[in-house]
Amino acid sequence: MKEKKMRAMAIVLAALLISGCGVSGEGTTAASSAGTAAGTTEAASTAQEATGGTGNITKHTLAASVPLTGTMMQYGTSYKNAMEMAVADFNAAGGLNGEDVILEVYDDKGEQKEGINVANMIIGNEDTFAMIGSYGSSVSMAAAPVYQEAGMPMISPNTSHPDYPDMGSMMIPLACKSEVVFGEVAQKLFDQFGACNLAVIYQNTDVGITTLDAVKERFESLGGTVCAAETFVPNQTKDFTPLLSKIKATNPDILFLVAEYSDGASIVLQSKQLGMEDVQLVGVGNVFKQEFLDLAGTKADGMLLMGISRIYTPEIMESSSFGTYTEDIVKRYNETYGANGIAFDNFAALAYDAAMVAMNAAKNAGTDNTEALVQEIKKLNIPLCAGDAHFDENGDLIREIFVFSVQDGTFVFEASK
Amino acid sequence: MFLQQLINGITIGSTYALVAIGYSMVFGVLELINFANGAVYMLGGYLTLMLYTGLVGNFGLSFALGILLTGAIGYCIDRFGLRRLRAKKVPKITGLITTLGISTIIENAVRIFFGSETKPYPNRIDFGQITLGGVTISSSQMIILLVSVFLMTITSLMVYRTKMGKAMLAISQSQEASLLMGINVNAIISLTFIISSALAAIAGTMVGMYYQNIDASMGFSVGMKTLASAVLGGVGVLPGAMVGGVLMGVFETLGASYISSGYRDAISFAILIIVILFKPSGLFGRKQITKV
Repeated sequence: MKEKKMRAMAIVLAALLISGCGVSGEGTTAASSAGTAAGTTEAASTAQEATGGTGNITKHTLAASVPLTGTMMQYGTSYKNAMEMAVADFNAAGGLNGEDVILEVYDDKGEQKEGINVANMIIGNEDTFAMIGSYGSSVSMAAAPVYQEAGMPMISPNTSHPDYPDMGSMMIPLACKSEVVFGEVAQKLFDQFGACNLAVIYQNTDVGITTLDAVKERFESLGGTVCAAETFVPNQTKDFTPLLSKIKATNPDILFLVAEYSDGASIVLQSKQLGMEDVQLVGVGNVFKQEFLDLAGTKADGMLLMGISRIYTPEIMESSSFGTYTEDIVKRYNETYGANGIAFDNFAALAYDAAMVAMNAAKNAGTDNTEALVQEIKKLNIPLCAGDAHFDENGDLIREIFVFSVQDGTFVFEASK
Repeated sequence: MFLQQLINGITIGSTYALVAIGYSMVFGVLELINFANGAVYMLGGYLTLMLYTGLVGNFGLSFALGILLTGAIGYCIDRFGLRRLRAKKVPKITGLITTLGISTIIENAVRIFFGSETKPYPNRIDFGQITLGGVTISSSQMIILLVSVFLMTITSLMVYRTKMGKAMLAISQSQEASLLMGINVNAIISLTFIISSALAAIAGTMVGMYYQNIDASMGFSVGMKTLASAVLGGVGVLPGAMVGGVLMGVFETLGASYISSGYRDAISFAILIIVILFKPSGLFGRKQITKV
């Protein structure tokens, strides 16, 4: 008990110290910004002409809140590595008009409480122009009100919760809402296979139900038929034969799986046992895993996998064409961090993009007007490592859908939209 | 589709029946619910897999050794976990808690040793499938069914037609009297554990092959369902356990296909409760429960 109190006090003290630093730093920032305003009006106006920006660059710190310890540390580590690389790349290319961007990475342990503590530390630093984080929707959404109130742009690489973007004007998700993704997936299925019978087998979770609704709505509005929708309890249901027999009786052309990799593999194997050889299997991003192939083996051959995340295994990199921008980043990342067993993944790609987008927007729009900075970030007008993305008229992020297939027991890159 | 679902249900139900027989036999002899049976079922599957991938390389031999090893573990459960309790004449509930503890130990040991992720399982009984009038039956389903029926017949014959079976029946009526009649009570009880564990191992391995994967948590839900099957058929009556197991499989399959796939387990347990309400001693049980 006592120890806990001590720790709490230490945190408060630390927070005070940091915000204290912020306050003492304010003098210098203000002075330098005054200097910039007075002395370099000409330079600023030329910069304006060159980039279309409006503001001055007064802040140079990019903050991040990621889990570096705890059960989610592997994701946080991918984030941190990628952001460090992005900042180094940006500074090497000239930085913010010659000045280096400083990256400050805080550990939020993947916990909501810590996420809020970290948020208070980040907004306490007056030199911070934007922050990146956190991993996972729950932590991001716990901390979001703090950033919103402080007017701190919050770029969240993989917060896909549908309520997140509506939490305030400072929220910038780089992950699509799942209903948007699966609407697009349904569109793609329709484009490829036409108005056919689609059967869905989905896990009885939030994600499963949202996915079913999104797929069903879009596919039926296009003129296709959803002939069956069956649910199961993830990680508990082992026998899928009742569901699959029922689905088989509706004569589906496509069987769409919304499942984690182990359930997905069971479904694939059992569907083959029931003689559903002619049905086109389609899976979602969750099964982009080597473990899925270990379980399903060649029985999954011909299956299509659709999602917004790409995989970056050496085999895929060889067979695909992700573009030289991405290929270069993957190569350099693996050279630097691969030795420690951390290969480039989609989290790294999103974090790299988040950092690059923030820094380029700061360069173009300046850092003194937060609203303008957020607008500039949302243009997403730089090359993106994780694949093209843009915000549509509703403010939803739209990403390209990547299609992989399974051939001879390995993943093969098919196409992107 | 009804026929198809019936076959799906009977296949999975017959594996429940194999495990339920084990419950029923142990309960018959000791009036003890062996909660470790589900964990032993899972362990049997893992042991066969370990022997196959790690040591032997021949599936038939691994399967046989896996059954023997699991039987040995069944023996150890009784010899080191339960025999002392019987000697001290502790209440039955103590033994029940012991088996619950053993099932937790087995499950966690498997998690530590093999890892908690789902593991692929080789299917050595997959020779394709045949379609008859819109009903597809895979070779795995047929073999599981045949093996289950065969083992159930053998076990029934053994219990009801041999001296050893008579000894079991005698022990179930009175341990003291059996002892006075010159029956080696401990040996027969150990044998009961060995047989029930071996049956569970066979069921676990066949289910592993059928689904082509295995994970450490598979024992828990099967343990629940097979216990329910034994109760449904009438605890302590072997034919009851078999019919109960098959019915359990059919109920959940038909429930999942005709009512709602989200409530499959709830449906089968609801049916169980209704049957028990109207026939408290189970479908085949008599008022005065006849033990094995």
